[in-house]
Amino acid sequence: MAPDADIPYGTLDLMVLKTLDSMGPLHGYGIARRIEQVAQGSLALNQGTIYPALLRLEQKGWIKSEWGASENNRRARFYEITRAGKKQLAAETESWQRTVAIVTRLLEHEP
Amino acid sequence: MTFMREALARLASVFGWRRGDADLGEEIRSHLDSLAEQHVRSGMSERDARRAARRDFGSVARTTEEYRDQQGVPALDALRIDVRHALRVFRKSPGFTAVAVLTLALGIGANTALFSVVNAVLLRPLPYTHADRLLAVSATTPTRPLSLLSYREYLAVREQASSIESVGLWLTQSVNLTGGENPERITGNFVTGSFFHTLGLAPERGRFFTEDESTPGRTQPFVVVSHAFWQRRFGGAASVLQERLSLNGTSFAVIGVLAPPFDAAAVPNRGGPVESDVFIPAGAFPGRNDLSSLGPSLLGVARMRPGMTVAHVTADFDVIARRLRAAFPESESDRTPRAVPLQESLVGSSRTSLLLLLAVVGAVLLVACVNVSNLLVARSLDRRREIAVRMALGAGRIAVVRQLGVEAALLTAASAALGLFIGRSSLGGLTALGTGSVSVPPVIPLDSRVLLFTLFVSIAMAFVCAIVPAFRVVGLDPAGALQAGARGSTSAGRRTRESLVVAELALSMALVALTGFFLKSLLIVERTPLGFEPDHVFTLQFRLPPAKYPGQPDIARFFTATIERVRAIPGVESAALVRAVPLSGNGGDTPFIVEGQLVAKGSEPLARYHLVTPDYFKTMRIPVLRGRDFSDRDDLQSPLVAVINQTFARTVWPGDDPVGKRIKTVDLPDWITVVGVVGDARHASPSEPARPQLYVSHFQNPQIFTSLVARTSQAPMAIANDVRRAIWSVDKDQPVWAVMPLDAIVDAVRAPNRTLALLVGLFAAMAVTIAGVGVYGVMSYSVSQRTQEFGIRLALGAPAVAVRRDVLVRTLALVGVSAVGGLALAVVGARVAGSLLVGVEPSDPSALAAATLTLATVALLACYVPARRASLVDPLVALKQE
Repeated sequence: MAPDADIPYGTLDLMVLKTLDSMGPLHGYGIARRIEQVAQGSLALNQGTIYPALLRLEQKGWIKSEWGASENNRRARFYEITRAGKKQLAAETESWQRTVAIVTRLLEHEP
Repeated sequence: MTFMREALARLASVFGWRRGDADLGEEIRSHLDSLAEQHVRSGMSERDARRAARRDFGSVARTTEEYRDQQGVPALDALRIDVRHALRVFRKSPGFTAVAVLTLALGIGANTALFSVVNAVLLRPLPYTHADRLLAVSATTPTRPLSLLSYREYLAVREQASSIESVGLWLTQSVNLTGGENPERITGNFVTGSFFHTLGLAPERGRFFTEDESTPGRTQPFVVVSHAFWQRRFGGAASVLQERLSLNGTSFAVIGVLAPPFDAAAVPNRGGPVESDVFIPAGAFPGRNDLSSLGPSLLGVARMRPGMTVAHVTADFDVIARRLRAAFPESESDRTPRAVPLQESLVGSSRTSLLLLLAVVGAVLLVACVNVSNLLVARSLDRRREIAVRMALGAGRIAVVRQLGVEAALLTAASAALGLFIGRSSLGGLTALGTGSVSVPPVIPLDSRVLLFTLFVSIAMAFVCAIVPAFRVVGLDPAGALQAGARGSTSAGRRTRESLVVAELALSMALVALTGFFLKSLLIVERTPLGFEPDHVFTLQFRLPPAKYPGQPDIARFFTATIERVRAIPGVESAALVRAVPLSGNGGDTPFIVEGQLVAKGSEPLARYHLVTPDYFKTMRIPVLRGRDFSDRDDLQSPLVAVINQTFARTVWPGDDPVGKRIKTVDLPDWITVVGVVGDARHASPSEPARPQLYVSHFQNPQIFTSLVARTSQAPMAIANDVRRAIWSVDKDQPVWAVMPLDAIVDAVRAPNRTLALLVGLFAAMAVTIAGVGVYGVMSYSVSQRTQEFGIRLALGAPAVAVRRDVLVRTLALVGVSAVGGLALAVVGARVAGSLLVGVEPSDPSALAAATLTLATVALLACYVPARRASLVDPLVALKQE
């Protein structure tokens, strides 16, 4: 069932949450563009994969969505992070940082 | 938590709250447009920009698919599709669907109805607290397995049985209620105070009398009335506790009203010990002597201590019996108190007939299932192409099986619902008929057990109906099915269908044979001569209050006057008294001693004991074979005389003339001389074997309980009022009851057997019909599969008859094979029915032959149309079918 994206399942969620947290409400295209920008080309993202992820995040209650008008007056769905999402973001960020710290320590202490 | 939210969101989308594809489409379009714009701005052409946008986006199809997968519960989605498909299939062949659903519904309905009865009678606990600990206590002797308890035994059990928590005595008996406009006969229950406590009963008003207040010698004139009686007689008035009732000539004060146990109407056997109008202290039990010195008189009910079993109680009783025998050596030896669970004692004899009927309807259901299964197999083979295509396109076997399973499940769900409805509706008719010798409670509840049973049966059916066809189908080679000209009938498929039909035929044959057994038994029973002529005989019963008629001369005077007045009624040819009307369920045996023949104490022979007045034999048209009938001169002053029946004479004095010989019984002080011999007449049941019967003159031993029989020239009931008036002209306070013609009594006794035979026959007919339909279906299908073959044969010159014969022979072969199993099953069934079949051997050839013939006929009728169709095949058309 897991789509074989170029980036793992969980990290896409994390990136979306972070993006929404720092940028405020965005539509799908906007989120995809932002992620690409931040990754500075080191990620090959099939932009379409964002939509199932967005739906999943919404089902989990971490983001919510609303129809609105985009910059060029197109009808677009805007996604916004929720309070639960912010909590999740903080938790996952901490978890990542801990993982990174452990791995770094392990690599440094190679006998 | 979030997992829950996601699960709920998925579930919600199953029921329609889903993001439509349209919305997503719009979002994607918008996204692609924006991407394209971005590329255009960086200098690409419109077309290149679009292509680049698509590349950036990735596969739209995959996005859409993953988006859809994120919603809905996949299993439920698949199920919904299957259900929609199944409904479409049903709509396409409504005839098949209707037949299948109806067949199954009938099978389920019959099962549900019968199981409801079984549940109400055998399985439901009695409506008393902790009913599983209640026992019915009686006594047993080697010659009399079921005897009443004496008060002495009751006291011994009460004081000494450690496995018993409490015990009470009771006996229902007719009681004369006087003081109203007409004397009335009501049911009284003579109970000890402990009776109420043992059953855990509670008073609705007032109180019960205590054990002390019901002890012989200290009895108080108190009475407790039932709720129903309180409503009927006193209109439910609160002042009932100040009322008095005149029972058997004595005045009793009403001190309490019995609250009915819940669901009292749902107790088998007319409510058992609690279904009485009034409850009277046992100490007031009518009799010549005090209750404490009377012999066996009452029944017991006891409650075991928690954790005790009937085995414990039996052990206790053995010890008590030994102690009693040691303490009272002059009493009858070898008497032991005996206990069985109360439910069993209320229901006992009907267990066999109920379980037999349950097995029969189970067989019918099986036949129905097999039929539908067969139909489904046939149809699924028809759809081989469709299924092969699906499998070729990637549907796994599981998916196909699941789809067929859903179809079968929907069918059985529909038929279960319909069947439940049919079953419950037909319950009314079933209880009206009665089922065998059961006293079916008037209210049969629909409780969880019945619903569970129906559910279980339906699921089992769905299994049978679905699995067999499903596995048949998925086992087939898809490639072969897709070939043009592939025919549905592989030899393996045909064998399955045919073996299923053989199973149906076998079961139906067994049922028909069983019906044959029952019918034969019924005929035997009904043809057995009764020994008397029951037509045009009027009967009624009465019981005189001992307080009003304390001595035998008083009783004799009343009855002499009564008979005289009754004989004077126009239309009465003759009238007499008898202690118990034949087949009425009353009456008992007495041990007797023969002069000159010594016998060990306790093993005296028994004879059915009758107290009759002169003219009894004339009224009943029982022939007097030797000697004489009783006469008016045989009264309290003259020497004791008796009349015996032929069996008595033959058994006791074989080859000798019994007139003049002497015997002695327990209740008469002197030797009795035999003065006459009459023909054998049945008394306890219409089919009992011939037994010794002893008739003694009523006027030499007047008793308060007796029955009147009168032969009338017109319809017996026409004289009913005249008889009542005649009796009341002698004693205006004497009630009578059980006023009915003897014909009605005989019919009532015969009814259970008739009903059982009727029911078995009904179910057999159902099964045979269903089996017939099955044969038709299979033969029809087989013929349609072999059209080519028939066409060729006909083209090559075979006569139509030969083709028809082919089909008929095939059918008969099926019947032949099924006969092996079917007849064996019938013999087993007959053995199980055992005592219900009178005079019929389990291997009775006529019934078995009749069953085989019936099934063969039905099968031939069923295959007639397909056979004709086979012979009418147009060879050209058949050959063209490629």
